[in-house]
Amino acid sequence: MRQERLSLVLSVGLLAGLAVVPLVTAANTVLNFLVFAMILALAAHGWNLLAGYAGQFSFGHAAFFGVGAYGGALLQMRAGINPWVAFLGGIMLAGIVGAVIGALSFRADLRGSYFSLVTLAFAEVLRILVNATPATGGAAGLLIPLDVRFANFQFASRAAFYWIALALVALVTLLMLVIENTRFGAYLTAIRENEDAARALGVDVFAEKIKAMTLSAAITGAAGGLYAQYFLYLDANIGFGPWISIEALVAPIIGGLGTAAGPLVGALALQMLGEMSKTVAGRIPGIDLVLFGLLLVLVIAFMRRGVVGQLQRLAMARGGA
Amino acid sequence: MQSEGVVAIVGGYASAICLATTQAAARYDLPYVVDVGVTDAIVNRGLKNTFRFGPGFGTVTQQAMDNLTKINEAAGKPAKTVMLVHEDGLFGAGLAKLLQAELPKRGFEVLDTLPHPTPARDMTNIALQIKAKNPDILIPSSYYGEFVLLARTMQQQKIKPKAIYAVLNGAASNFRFVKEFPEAAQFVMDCNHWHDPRKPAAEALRKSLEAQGKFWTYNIPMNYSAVLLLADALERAASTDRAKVTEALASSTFADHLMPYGPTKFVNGQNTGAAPVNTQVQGSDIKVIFPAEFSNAKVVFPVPA
Amino acid sequence: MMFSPEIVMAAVLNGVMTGSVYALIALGLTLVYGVLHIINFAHGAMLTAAMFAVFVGHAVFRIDPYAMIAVVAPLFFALGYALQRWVIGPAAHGSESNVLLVTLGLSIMIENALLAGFRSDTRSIDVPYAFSSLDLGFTFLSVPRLVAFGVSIAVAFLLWLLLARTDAGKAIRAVAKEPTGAELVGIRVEHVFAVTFGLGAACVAVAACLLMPTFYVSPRIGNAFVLVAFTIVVLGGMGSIPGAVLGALFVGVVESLSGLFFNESLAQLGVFLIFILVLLLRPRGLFGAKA
Repeated sequence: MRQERLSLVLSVGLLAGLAVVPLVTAANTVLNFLVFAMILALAAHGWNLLAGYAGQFSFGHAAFFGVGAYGGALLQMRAGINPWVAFLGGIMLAGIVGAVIGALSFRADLRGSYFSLVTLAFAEVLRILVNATPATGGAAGLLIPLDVRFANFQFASRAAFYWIALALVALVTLLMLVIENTRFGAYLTAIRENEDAARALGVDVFAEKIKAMTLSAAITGAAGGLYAQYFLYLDANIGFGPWISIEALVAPIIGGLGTAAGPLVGALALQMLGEMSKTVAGRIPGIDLVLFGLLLVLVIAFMRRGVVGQLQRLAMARGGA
Repeated sequence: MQSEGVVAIVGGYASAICLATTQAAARYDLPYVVDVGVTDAIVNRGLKNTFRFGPGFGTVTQQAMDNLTKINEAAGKPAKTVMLVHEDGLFGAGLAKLLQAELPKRGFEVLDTLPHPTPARDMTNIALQIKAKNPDILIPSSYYGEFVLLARTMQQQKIKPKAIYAVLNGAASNFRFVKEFPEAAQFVMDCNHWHDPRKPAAEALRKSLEAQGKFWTYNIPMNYSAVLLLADALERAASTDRAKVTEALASSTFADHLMPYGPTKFVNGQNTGAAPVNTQVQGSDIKVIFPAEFSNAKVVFPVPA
Repeated sequence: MMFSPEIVMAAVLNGVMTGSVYALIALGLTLVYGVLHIINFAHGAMLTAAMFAVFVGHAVFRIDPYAMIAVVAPLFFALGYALQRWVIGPAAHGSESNVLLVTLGLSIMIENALLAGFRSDTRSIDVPYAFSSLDLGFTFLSVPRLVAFGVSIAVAFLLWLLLARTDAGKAIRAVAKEPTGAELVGIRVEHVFAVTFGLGAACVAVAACLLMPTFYVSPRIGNAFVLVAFTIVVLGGMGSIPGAVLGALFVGVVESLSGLFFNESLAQLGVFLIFILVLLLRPRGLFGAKA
């Protein structure tokens, strides 16, 4: 089975299965777990588009998560814009910030490790600025007032929120599957495999990379916006801290770098692993992250395309291909 | 947590965590007793489920300023100028802002306010600026590592203000600091949470902890008391119904805790009796120097050169 | 805001002292980059681990932090060698992005293992000479920081000697320039890579010994230093040893003066802005190092 087919089957199966969970259980621990996994999957999708498809490894996707989260929160709190519209506004802002950072970095022809470092630095600059600026709530952060109404993007039931998050993940997965079959997708693959060769073949490398970065930032920004609406609290560390840059990167790598199903598979796996390590190792801080780190190293060493890649190999072995 | 039949939560400590978790709990009308979180936004949001046992920023700063004024007056007003050093997070920045407004009202001149990040790589610059401005009193609001670094750098640079007067400092009423850096810690004052030394239960708890080789910190009696407070409310509610427990907490008059607060009385979720005390490192001990009713030492001010 | 010349001089001196320790941390990073052409993301975590080693050595075995150099430098050389030879090298399959991710994974592991083992408390050690200082008239110069300065510069010089004047250094330089060619003339490239990585690790181990008498350690403290080290390496030109030393002293002084004239929180921002600007405008570094 080809990877795209497998990703499609896997995604449809997983998403369908996930959609019925609230009908089976109303346990808030389960829904909470899943909402968080969806937010993570969305952030991971954004990272995966840029790194998995276009080969640009950002270490600072927190910048876009934070802009999406803070943008949405500030637009509703300070400008009085309806939270749904503000959510979209946050996504757009994240896209714009992505385009600007992308334009600056790609104009300077920063590749490989240099690109990773500069994105990391941009995220840190934003974190320090947001922490020091009174307009963004400074160190006290932002509390979106609790006012549970549909019009406010706040729901009494976790299930409602969960379905919205799930729908967004489904939408983005679909988008990725479509991109894989467009010229844009082919360009990104060409850039990933050999940037200079792609340029020689007439691909406008700069423009395609900016497009990828903008879309990538907007998707991760959507994850930030969802986070803000769900927890109703943000501070500079939540929005722009290194944690989300790392999780958005570890999830797709474990799930399957450059595959449409990878981010969701990886996000679920990471979340489960985190919960399991908490049950096994008790309340020792850091144990779950030790496992994440170990898994990251192992996956890179032994299974280049993560869980999805491994499944594909199994399928191929069985099919005798 | 909600689905697992949790009736109430006791917790807090880091203010940012408190803000988020109390709001999350409010969605499910889950009663929440905050023991240590000092940000006033915790109880100012009108969340009916949130009860804070300890004092907030506002109360602590008021008390700290009152006591500082008293200490200064009793010594013949040797101190006129102040410098603030604070970490740039929620806790330090919030406190510095309050102090900047309060100090001039009480006749102190604020020479400068110096923020620093956590973790900070170096406090020498801050020490140099203190040396340059030479304030009578230094008010640091930092976490443990940075304050210890600052105190050590000041000792190194031989900078000796008339007093180091901390407010809610992570180190100034911490026995680890006193034990590890006795010279740097000497005579540092703090206005902070502290147990009531008159209460035998509190002293007994302290002894049992020290017998296990652990350092006594203020959040131990705070947390212990908050749990007792909730247990009392549960007993009176005679039910695990969240609304009933919330009601029992709201009407609590619980007095059997370890803190110097008197009987508990919540108004808008804030325990009105909650108040900080002033401590000072003297020798190898942390003494209570204010309020006078239960102080166990006299304040040393100005600090002998 | 104006300060008296004494204070400004004291701040510059302090910047030079701090910068010298940055130099040592940046040296390890730039050496590894220069030879292996990889960015070791676990550099900060290795520094933290070394600082905890020094802490434990003092707290448990009562070994002086300076004497610990003799223990942790060889230990970390061996650890670094092993990591590169048997973990990073094989796991990375020769791809640059893989190296970044593997070292990121390692740094997450090391940092959180330390968090699990030591909790998030900050720890420091007290040595009798912690507060000894020289009276320079305009300021008191801390003896431990002067020692740190001297040792850092000495290590940088030794490293330069090693690379320039010894056979091992010749092999390292050959591998850095032309790995395939070096392999053809019989140099064991994997071994040289691992030795270089080990040297980088030994550099942070020495830095840890120099920091501990006056600083503290907590599981995430390495990050505070390593981002500065990245800045320095980029500023000095990736792979350049003199560039790293000059860049470190420059950053130390800039940071110290901006801390004095603006504030410490914004000084952090300044370091990142320098970093971004250099990357965007002069990715080959300010000090004209060759690419």
